[in-house]
Amino acid sequence: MQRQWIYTGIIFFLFLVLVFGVPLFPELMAVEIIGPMNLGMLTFLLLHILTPALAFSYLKQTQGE
Amino acid sequence: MAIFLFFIIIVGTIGLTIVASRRTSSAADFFVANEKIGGVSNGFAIAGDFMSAATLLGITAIIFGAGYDAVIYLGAPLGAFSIMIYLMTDKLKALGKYSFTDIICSRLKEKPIRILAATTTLSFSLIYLVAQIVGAGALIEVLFNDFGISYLWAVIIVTTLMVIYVAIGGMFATTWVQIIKAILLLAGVTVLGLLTLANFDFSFSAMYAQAQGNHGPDGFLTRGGGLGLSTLSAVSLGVGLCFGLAGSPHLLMRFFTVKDKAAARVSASVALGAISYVNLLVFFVIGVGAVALVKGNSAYLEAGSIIGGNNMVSVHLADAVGGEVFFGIIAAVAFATILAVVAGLMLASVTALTHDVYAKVIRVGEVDQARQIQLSKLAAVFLGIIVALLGIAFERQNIAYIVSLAMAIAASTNFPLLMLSMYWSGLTTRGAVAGGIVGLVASIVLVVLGPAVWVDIFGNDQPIFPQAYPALYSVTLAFFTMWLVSILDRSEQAKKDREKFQVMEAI
Repeated sequence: MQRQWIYTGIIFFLFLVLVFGVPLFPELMAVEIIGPMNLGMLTFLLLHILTPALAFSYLKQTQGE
Repeated sequence: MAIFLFFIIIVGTIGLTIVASRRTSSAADFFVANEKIGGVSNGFAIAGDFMSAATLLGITAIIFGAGYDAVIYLGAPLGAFSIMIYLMTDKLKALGKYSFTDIICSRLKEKPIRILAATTTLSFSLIYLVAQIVGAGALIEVLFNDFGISYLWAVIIVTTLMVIYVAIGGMFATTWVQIIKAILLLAGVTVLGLLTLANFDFSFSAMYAQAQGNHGPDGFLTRGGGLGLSTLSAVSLGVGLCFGLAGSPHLLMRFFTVKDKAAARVSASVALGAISYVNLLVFFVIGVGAVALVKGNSAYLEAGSIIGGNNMVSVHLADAVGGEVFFGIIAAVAFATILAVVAGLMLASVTALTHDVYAKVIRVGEVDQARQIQLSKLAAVFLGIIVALLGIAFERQNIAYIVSLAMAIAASTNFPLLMLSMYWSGLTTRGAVAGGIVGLVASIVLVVLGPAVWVDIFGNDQPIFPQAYPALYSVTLAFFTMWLVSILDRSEQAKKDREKFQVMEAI
């Protein structure tokens, strides 16, 4: 599978975890990880770090294409 | 202070527009800045084009009222920009010139597709513009009530500026306004975030503890459930926002302002970085800080409610942590935010009318560029008057349903049209037109029959369609109709459409 579909899939997986987490498993997402940060907030943080990181990595890989 | 900063923004952006007008002589200059915008600059312009007043004012208000559930609103743009970077930019840049319709027309019959896409673009842009104008009018009225600026004058000021930027400066002026807005917004939220954290000696734990106490015993500040969404509603909201943004014509057309595919990828990545940064600050610091410092604070309450409504909490937070001067700065940033978005939307509408319809359908490509620019300026004035009248007519209306309608239209029309024409060899002109019409009608009808309009506006007891967010249904209907009509299509045109897919696949 081409890398762009894999990257899109990773981002969508994290986004869907957040979306389904709101109505379906709020208690699981509220499990505290560190300080005030819970699993849902950690997923949100991961999504916001990973998305630009993957985008810039893709940018490097496609330089010159 | 605030009125002085507003004045600076107005004078400064009009000055830039005059400079931009000297660089605008051809249709390519007017619509896409002749591909002269750099990748990084265009990235900031895309961020400026995307981050509407909803980002700073609206999302903070959702965190303030409902808490954690704002993750759906904040996460959706990341999904949308990922689709743009990985699945759209290369094909957009290789096959498009002025609008996203160019890409679809490279394999499907031009005339019906141009008319359909112009209809969906105008529907989306005008509805979204009305939402922005109503929001801007309410914001300015609240901020400058003491100076006698009424809602009516606020609408006139914003629409006049929008027409000036587009009609005089075209894409150059629109781009520069969007870049300035993005930089102001990035700087504004950074300082607001730092001052908020400084109030708690940079202790997240202390800030969250105070916010949890103020938000109430339900714990919705950090746990899902504050918006009361069912599973279908949550998915429909996420789908509508994500696919709607990925199909937004004002964002897509920005990819035609850079010189090549590499620059388009840089643009999308820079925009994504800027949006992620603002989202993180809004979710972890500004929204929570507003709950901690503004909720229950008598200085910002009037008859038990937040002065100016919940949309004003980030501006009140600026006052709480930075005093009157910083309040003025954040209010001016919010104003610049609205100006940049409405300019982008107006330019997308003008392009749909004078490029897709006039130049490609009526004149069939044989068009005098000076005449096209002249018509574009007239179209900007004409659309500006319509938007101002609609903005006045829709005063005090709940803008949430107007925005959800705009997003549902883009998600149910432009998005499936673009994705299937790029990635499915079986799509035919008949299938695209049938699916586009079904998506457009379904998104409008389902919003009207839903609780936001049927109950809240028309005053009925029960909605005919129970979901407040219809995108999941209208998007599915649009994709299904495009697929079904295409596979049943045995016409000569259908054969040509399928053969031309090779153009797409080669990229």
